[in-house]
Amino acid sequence: MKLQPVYLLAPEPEPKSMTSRRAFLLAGCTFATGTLIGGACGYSLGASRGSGEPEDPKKVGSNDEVELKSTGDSTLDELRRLAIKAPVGDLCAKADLFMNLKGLDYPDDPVLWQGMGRLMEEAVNNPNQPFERNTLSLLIRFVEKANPPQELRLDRYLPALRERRNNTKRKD
Amino acid sequence: MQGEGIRGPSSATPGSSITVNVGPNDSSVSVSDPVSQTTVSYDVEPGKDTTIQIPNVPGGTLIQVWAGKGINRKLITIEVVSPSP
Repeated sequence: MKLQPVYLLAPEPEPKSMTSRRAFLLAGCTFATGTLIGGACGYSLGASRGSGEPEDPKKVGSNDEVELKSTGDSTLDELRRLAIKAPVGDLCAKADLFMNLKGLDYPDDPVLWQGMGRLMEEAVNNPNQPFERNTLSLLIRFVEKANPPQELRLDRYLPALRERRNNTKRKD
Repeated sequence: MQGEGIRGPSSATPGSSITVNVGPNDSSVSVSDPVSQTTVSYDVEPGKDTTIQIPNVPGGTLIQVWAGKGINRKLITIEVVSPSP
């Protein structure tokens, strides 16, 4: 009997897969990197939106979507419209009247305090908007003496208001 | 001079008198500090010059002389300045 060699086809060896240790390390690094990036993005977003301070008073109730309900007092309704809905130029043009009525007739109306904030912001940020010296002085006194709502933080305007007032000549 | 409907100075000393001219439709004029909410009113002859007294308030106080009602109120804002020594 004669023995003859027989060749059998063996399956190709599979490429060596990554060891479970390397795979674990890679997955861990990916997770850590994602956590770092996500954390950084979340922190910056949170810091920009919710720093624990109230929103800019100009934005509180000053948008067009605010619907002012009638109070039954046409003067107060008009003052409230001026305070938060009318163009700021209209409010500035009637600033002295606004402060007169606000101070004497509606001293505690929260919407009118927002109008005071709009006036101050305009006086501070828009040098082209005309303000008389006495108007600026009266704005300053309202912040100093009339106990404005804390959440509006109107006192932050004081330094710039004083500076503009001091640079504005008295009109006689 | 400033304001519409009322004319007067923009500054005055405490306790002094100033002359204001109110419009033809007003029979009284008021002097107020809108911050402290104090008001003194005077009867006036419409359209004529009227003398009113500036209250004895500290220098730097802003007062408003006004006449009329509501949103149609006319006024001037006056700074009370302490007399220089």
